[in-house]
Amino acid sequence: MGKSSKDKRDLYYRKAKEEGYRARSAFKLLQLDEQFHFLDNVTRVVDLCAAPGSWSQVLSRRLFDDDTENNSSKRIVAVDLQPMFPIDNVTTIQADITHPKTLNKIMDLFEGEKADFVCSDGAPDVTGLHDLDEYVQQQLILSALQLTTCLLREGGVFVAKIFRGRDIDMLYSQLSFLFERVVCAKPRSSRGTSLESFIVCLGYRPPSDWKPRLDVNMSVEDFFQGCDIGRLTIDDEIPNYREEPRSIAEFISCGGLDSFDSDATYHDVPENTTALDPVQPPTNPPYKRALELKRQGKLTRAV
Amino acid sequence: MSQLRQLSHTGPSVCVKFHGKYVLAGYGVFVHVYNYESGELVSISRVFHRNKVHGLAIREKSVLLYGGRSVSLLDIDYLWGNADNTRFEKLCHEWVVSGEHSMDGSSVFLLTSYNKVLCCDLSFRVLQTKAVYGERSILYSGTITVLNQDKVLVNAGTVMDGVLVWDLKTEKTIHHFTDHEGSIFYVAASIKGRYAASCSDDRSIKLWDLHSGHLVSTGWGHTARIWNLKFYDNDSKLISVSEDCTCRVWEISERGTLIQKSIHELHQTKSIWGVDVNDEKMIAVTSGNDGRIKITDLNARTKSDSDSRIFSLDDISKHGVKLRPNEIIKGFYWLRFGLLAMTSEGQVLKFDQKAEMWTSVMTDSRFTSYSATSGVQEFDMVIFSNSRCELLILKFSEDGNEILENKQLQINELTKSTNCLVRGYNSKLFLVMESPNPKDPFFCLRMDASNLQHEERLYFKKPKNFTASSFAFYENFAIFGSRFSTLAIFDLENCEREATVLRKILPGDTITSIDFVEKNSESDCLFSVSDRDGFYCFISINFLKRSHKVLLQNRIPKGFLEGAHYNAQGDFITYGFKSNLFYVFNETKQYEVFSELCGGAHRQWRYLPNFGLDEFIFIYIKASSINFRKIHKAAYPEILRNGLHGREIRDLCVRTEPLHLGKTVFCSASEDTTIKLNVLNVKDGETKTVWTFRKHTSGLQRCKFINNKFMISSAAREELYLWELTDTFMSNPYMTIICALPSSSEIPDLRIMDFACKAIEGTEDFILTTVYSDSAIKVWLYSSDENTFKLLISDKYQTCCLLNVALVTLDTELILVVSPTDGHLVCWNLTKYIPYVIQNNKLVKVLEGFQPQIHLPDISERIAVHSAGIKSFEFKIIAENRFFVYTGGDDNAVAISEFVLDKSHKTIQGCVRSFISAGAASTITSVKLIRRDMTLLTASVDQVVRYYDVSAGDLVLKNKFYTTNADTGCIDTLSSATGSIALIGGVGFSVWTLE
Repeated sequence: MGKSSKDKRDLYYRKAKEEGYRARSAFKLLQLDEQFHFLDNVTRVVDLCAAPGSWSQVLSRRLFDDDTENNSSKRIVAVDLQPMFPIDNVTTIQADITHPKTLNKIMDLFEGEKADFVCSDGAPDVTGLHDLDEYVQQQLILSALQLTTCLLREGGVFVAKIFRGRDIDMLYSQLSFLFERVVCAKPRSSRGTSLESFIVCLGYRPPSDWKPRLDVNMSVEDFFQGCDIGRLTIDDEIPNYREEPRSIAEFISCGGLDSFDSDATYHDVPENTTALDPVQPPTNPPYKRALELKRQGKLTRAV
Repeated sequence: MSQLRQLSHTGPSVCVKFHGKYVLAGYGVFVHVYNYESGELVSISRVFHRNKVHGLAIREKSVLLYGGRSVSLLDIDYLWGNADNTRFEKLCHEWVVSGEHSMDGSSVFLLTSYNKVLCCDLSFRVLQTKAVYGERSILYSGTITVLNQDKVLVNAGTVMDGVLVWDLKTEKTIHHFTDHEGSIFYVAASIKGRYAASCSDDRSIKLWDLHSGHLVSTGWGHTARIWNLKFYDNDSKLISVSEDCTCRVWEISERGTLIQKSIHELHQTKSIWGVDVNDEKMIAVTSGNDGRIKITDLNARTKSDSDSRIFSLDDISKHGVKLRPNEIIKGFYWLRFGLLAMTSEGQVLKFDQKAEMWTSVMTDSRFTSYSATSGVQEFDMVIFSNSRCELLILKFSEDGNEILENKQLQINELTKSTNCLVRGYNSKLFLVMESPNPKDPFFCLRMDASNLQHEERLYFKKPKNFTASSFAFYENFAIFGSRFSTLAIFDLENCEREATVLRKILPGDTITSIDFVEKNSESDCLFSVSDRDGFYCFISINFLKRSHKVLLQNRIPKGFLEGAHYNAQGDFITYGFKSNLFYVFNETKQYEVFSELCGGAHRQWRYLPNFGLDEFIFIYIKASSINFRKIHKAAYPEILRNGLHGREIRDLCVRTEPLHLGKTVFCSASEDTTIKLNVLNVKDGETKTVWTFRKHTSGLQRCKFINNKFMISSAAREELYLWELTDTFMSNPYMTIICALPSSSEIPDLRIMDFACKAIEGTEDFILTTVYSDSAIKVWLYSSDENTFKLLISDKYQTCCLLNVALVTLDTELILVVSPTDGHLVCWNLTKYIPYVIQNNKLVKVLEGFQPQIHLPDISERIAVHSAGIKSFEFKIIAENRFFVYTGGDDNAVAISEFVLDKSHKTIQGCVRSFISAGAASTITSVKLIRRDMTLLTASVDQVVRYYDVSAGDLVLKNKFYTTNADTGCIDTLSSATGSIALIGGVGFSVWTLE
């Protein structure tokens, strides 16, 4: 989140900086919690794909600042492949969420106890090929889900960012095999013009005959093969095309109508307000070198 | 039961492949087969139910198709013979990144996104699953190199972990290339197996030596992500395509260095996905997000030696031409036989293109140091002039060997001349001299072109602030273009008469070209006019009535515009400069026809026809050498399918009445900030873009035809324009902005989310209401006499963004209906707030004694319908006091609400009549009433079009259909004789018929 004139246009953006959050997405988790109260009385929570860490910041404040009882037994673990700046009361792990070692590390930190709550605000970069982008996003959710099935207690809650695209109803259907209630929730802080929403899965109830096991040589698809969540399985033949199970999850808009509308333009930010300094320094994009070359005029049409 | 049937589909194409004289293109769920020699679309075959075709591999008669989790193997003849091949589709459990046949054709390999290869027999029985043990990367890309029956290499492009090259048989990693930053989007192996090339999020191409395992070189150049690579020409070249919409050719040197050789701008914003090369013909085919399938001559329209020549002054003197030490070329002109040039010493040089010889024609010392050169090709004539008003006219024989006429003239009427313009018209030569003294008239010499006799001397009084930069003749009129985008029209029969001066017809400055297009039955003459700053317009001039009207005004994407004209195919062509590049651009089809690097400022150049259909020559001086570049007619059709927008279509609007020539037109408004005016064939759904308007500077929100003449478009930054459509010319329909809505601040940052209009009977005036992202609601009166929008009401709902607005007339009342992001429907009674009397649902006459009030009345009714924003609504008047509102929301729900006005007209009561919470799996983006409002169509992001019977006032789902347009966002409909036509837009565009 940089220092920009977006302060005037995007109220959540400015509010995030004022309140010291690393990204405006913090309000999405706050508004989801306002609706579902899934952070009341939780002890062990995991934030997957956590960088830059705004959800971990929310978890830290909700678990430790709002309710100081039993602070010594509370644990927050944040996992990401990218390095993260430290956050109070949060243990950050730079690791791959699909790797069994990551699971072991978290279980060590939890001293063998299972988690009450797992969330993921991760999203891959989009290419513009809608089907590929949706597939990769769903694989990311399933990767988060496979780790979740290994560490979430029965009755626990799983929350993840989704994009409501063409095949979202397949994901709803699959998740409903593992949770009592699956809701598609849209906080007011998430733009109405964006396809972003959050899947809130309440009441984890894994099939009794299935024991999830992470293995370095198994894909996410292999992982769920033993658990019938309606995903396609292949044995020795690639099957004919068939319609796969789909269902539409209940939709809840949260954050209340009195909260700010992320699609609206607000005028009450004074015109001459100076842009607030960013909470966190910007990250290095992979195309940094290309940008430098462009700036030096080396990417022209002259060949 | 009614059936929706897809007539046509235009959308992203991810893969293309040459096969003999055909191009096979994955086009959504279809495979298109084109004959690239004739340009004909030979067949369209549906191969998958829902998934897009991402790749195809051909071995003899067997075609392996894959896309998403779908795969299919079929006989190639089936693609020609069967419109529906979906019965062969198989569904894998993982995304298939790539597929290939085995060397002997007995099996196929499928590489999945989990870096596994499924080895299958031809009925997709999995014989073996291969993977590198302990390797668990997710792939964005990959290819399979089948070297022989036993040796197969997998080139895997991972999301996080670089490139992995592994051996299928041994399941061992051979190379792990980690020099890229970010995800790998493509890996290609060279044909002979020495190299692999990869591209990534870092926007570079890296070439790897597969023997040594070393990085050989890195190619920088693309300004966005690169999506596809291919080696060709015996591994000596590599072609790349990118998100930046260019295709680039890289030469691979002996030592493996990547050298960028050419850049082709081929597609519309954004992304070229697919590429293939035909080595023998040296042509490339590309496919993009815009749905375009484009053929490109990799030799840049066959650049053979004789087509591209450079002569330095040294070279010229080697031909026996005597040149003084400082003698340089000052001007040149191209005739049938070759070039004529004037030097700084007054020497006339001739280049005979057949003999490839330079000769000196003569020396005329009057033209030492300053001279201007021009000519008339059809008269084989070249004209030199100097500042002392001296002229030399040379008329050559066709072969250039003889000078048929040699005329030397001194114009005594002017003392000094800075400008000499020349044109041929109706076998007459017209010469116009302009003096630097603004008080001097234009001096025009008219003579027979055949013998340069029968001189007539004409004078035209120059208008104020006028410096001629171009001119044209039509019938008895001369039209001069000047700086300040001014035109002056002179009557040749009556030179004394003051010119008709049309000032500032374009936003730019110097007019660079004026071309006659056509004359219609009303004797209106249409001209295209361009200015150097990148704007062009079409202006209709009636010389008899001395009237004129600008029918279209537009600008090119970037650079300077030196001229524009229609070509023989009826495409509008522009040309000019972009920094040090000369370009020719097809404005109708939106692609670069030609470009040449020719150096920067103070350039001397000529772009002229070269005696043949679509043959041109570009001549320029660079570093004191003269360069010729011939531009031939393309050897193959350049466009196999043109596509539409390269980004999401945000709105569509059809003009309900066909044009006078029977054509149906519609506008498409896109995220790419352009509005396209398109012609639709209602029988087969084929669409042809006529104009691409670049007036908006931000992503479009809405466009609607408010009647047959006017269209309104709105976008962010408070942009709202009123467009007028003209269809009185044969060449094309034309459209231009006639009025812009005033914005509320100097730096407008509000989005105009929607608008609605109500016509005032018997006039072209209307009431307009606009709703904004800051909750503002405004009501305006458009006056056609004054051509202004006058603000009547300005108020706010709350603070949330408003999404939709409608104006509903109920008998004698006018109701404003708004839907904000809070999911409510809100009504106001505006009857007393507008200066018109309403009768029988119509605004009929001015209300006497009207008292303007800037604020809205109190809200009449506000009901909660959806739990999130209402994305789209439609209304229908049920009775004189009752209307329904049909809504679709971000909460996936679809609803019908009813509003009733009480007898005293004081209150409105609303309620939800019918509500389906799971109306779609995702956001419902558009609802549309069709078939005399008996049926409701909904479109949603889950790519399903649903069809409800609403005749009984509730929602009864009748049917649903899958649409191939991702991010489905808008529908418009048109009634036809046989039923209705529905246009559906998103990322892509499709036309459906409802029978």
